[in-house]
Amino acid sequence: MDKIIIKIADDYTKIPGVREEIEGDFPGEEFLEKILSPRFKQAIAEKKKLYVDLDDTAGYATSFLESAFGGLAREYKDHKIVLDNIEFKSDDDPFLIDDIKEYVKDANNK
Amino acid sequence: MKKLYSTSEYKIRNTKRAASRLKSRLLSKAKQKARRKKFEGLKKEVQKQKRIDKTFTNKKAPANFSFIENTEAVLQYLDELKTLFRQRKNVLINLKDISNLTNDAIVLLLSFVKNPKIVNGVTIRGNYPKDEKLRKIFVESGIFNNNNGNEDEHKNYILTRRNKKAEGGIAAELIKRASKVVFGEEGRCPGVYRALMESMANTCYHAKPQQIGEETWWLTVYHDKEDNHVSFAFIDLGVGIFKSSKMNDFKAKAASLLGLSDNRDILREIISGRKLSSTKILYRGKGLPTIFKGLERNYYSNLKIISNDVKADLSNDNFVKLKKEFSGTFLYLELNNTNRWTK
Repeated sequence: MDKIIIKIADDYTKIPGVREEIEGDFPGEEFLEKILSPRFKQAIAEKKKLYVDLDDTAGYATSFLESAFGGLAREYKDHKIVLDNIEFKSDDDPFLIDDIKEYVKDANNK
Repeated sequence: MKKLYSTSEYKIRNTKRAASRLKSRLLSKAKQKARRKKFEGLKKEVQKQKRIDKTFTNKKAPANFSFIENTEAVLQYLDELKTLFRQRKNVLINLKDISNLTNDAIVLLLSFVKNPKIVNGVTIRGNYPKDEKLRKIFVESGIFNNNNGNEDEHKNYILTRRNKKAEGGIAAELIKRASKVVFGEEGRCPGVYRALMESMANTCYHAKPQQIGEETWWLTVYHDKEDNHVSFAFIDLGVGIFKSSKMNDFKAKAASLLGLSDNRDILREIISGRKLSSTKILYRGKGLPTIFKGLERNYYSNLKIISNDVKADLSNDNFVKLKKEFSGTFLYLELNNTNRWTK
């Protein structure tokens, strides 16, 4: 299966911020709006997987990950669509992928 | 008619008055002489300095000047300074006799004396510790300089940064320098980055209710050469964790459903989530649990949090209720060569 690739360090920033722009630069909401959501839409339309490479950044704040990936699950109102169509790569931080999956699962539990 | 000056009544009164004036004149001269004697043999500049110093209230700092180790005494000291600032008295922060100093106290003092709302226009001066090592730490901290702790200094002993927003560039830069010290080469520590960014975001959003981005955070990074670790001390002087708007609703539910009223128990529950998962109480914030997880994942060591009336040593599961409240949030963690990092 073909993949659409996002490498956050190259496509967005090496120093990801937090949730909203008001809190600082490179927020998760902006990443969702400008990169993650359009490419995810494209992947779904082209029946491809979205491959998100999380490596080579300084790290990720929880609020960045929650607003970006949790936000995507909220957009689709279903976490399964997101988890079934995204693959992650994180060699820098082995715990990161499980954390993101947890945020995605919790995203619509309100 | 008899003139006033020649009346006996006037003469008696005038004699008494003259004697009294003479006495005070002599006393004043004696005082002046004593004052002059004190300055004898001193250079003019020193004399001038001494005269200025006399207008300052001397506040001696606690000998163990460590916020982590001697929390209540340091808070008491800051309270006393605050009172003097409110009274608009110039203050001399006397650190001459301190015997212990940690960077957490430096960042606390920095956030305090560089806050114009606290200082109230008062002039602050300070002296440095007699102890050579402690003196060096203080000089490099820039507390008594006229900078704001943001200059690009080329020292590797202690670094201080401040801002109002979550600044990934600052966190990444400080981590890069710290990793060079600890691991021998520049690297990245995603766990430390995460904890710092989360703390900065909390300051931005929750430190001052209804005023996003108004509170300043301070971050000091100190290299302990003897122990080869780098410590990160983060602080804001906002409302504190347990008084943030995010916490109010959660605390009310935790009190009514779980009977938790002590902030120590609240913090334990937030980071462990043991009882919360069996109830319908949801704690929305992910920052604090994530910071705690960082300790379990070996991102960093020796994690401590002080906020409001709680002092938590999370590495040793030790939660203390403070008699003196700290209005703000303080986070401390250490990076050593056993912690996770990546090139």
